[in-house]
Amino acid sequence: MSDNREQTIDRLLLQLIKEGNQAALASFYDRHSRLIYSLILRIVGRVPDAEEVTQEVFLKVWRSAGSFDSTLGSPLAWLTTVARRLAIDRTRSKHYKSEKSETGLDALEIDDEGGFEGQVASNRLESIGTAEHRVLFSAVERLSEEYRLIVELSYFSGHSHSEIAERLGCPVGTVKTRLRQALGQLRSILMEGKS
Amino acid sequence: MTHEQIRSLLEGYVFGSLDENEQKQVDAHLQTVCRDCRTELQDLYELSVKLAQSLPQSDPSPQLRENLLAQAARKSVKSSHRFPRRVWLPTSVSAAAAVALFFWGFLLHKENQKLRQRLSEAEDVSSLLRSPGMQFVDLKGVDPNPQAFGKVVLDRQRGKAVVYMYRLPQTPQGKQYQLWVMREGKPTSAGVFTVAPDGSAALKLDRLPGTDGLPSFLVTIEPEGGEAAPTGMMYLTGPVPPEKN
Ligand SMILES: [Zn+2]
Repeated sequence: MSDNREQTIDRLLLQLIKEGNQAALASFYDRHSRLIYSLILRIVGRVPDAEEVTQEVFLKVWRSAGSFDSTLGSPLAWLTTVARRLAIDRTRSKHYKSEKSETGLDALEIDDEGGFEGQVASNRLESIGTAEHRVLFSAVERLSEEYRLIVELSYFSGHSHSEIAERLGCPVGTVKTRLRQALGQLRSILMEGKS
Repeated sequence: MTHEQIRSLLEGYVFGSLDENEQKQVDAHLQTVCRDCRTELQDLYELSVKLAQSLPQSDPSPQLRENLLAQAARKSVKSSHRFPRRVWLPTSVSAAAAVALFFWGFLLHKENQKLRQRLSEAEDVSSLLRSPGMQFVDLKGVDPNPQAFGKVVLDRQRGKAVVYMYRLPQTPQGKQYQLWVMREGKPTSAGVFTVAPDGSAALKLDRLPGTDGLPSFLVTIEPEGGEAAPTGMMYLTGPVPPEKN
């Protein structure tokens, strides 16, 4: 399926959502709730929180589809960004912190070698749907450990550059460079997978 | 900051890991429409989607969808009049709509009726969008009403379409709009309609004439009840030829 066609549909749906069309919201939800929910679940770690945040994301789409800026990327990129931000916000809320369990972010302890134990490891063992996903998943897997760590801390845990620097005991500049290299590596693995 | 310095912040910008000041600087730089940075940014956003896609995928509970749509319905007072259901072609209750009604049966409050209508519309649009032969047609306002526009989602194979129209002027007493589907220059009436207070209308077409080639669409103003062939002023036409960049 071509990305362009998918994007066209998403753009049309957002346009209709902006105009208050609930049918379009239902379609948009059906197209993307799986991805968005899975991403949120990965960040917040608990099903009830993940469901609440997922609903929050799509209500935000409903209320502010007009704030989608098509010059910055695809509707899906926008949706993913909104979902990540709201999920990370949730992990920082008082309510979340007071109830955090071992399945939450705290399970993500960095061990001495800088690797991850707990949830990340178990996620890795779960089966993954489509062939494309398998390629992508192994792409993240194939990142070298220091790169995966930095993607983990910034993308999934939402830490700022300076927080990561503090945590890893290195200069902020190093964090920036390493993140850039990590994404470069990820990108080249993905290109390789496509051809 | 120089372009190079900004460039080194884009990853953090996409991931939201910059401090406030850095973020402002990137925003300011992007305002200058630096093409390189924008392209890079789009790539990074797509990479961010791919990262999300790389996770183990699972579905939220079906209850979540119900809650969301019910909440959205509650939060859309302003749009309750937007899509008048003036469906003139005979529409049978489809199997999908029947399932939808069952699905929504538990919602026993006053809005029930409205929700049902919306949901059957939802089923129509999403089944159209899923069909492999799905196409879009843009409709354009005709002078002196260039502000009017429309969108048609259509499935030629199954002869189905949904037509959305916006910003049409109110029709005077004794007049209605009439939608025409044109095939080889021959117009077939697809029915008459009036618009909501905000100038919008949504129409469902279940039996489009012909299957080969893309039909064109025309909206004219006609005496109430419509005419056998267009006689009045044109308001919308389509498809709009693609703009050359
Ligand atoms: Zn630049």
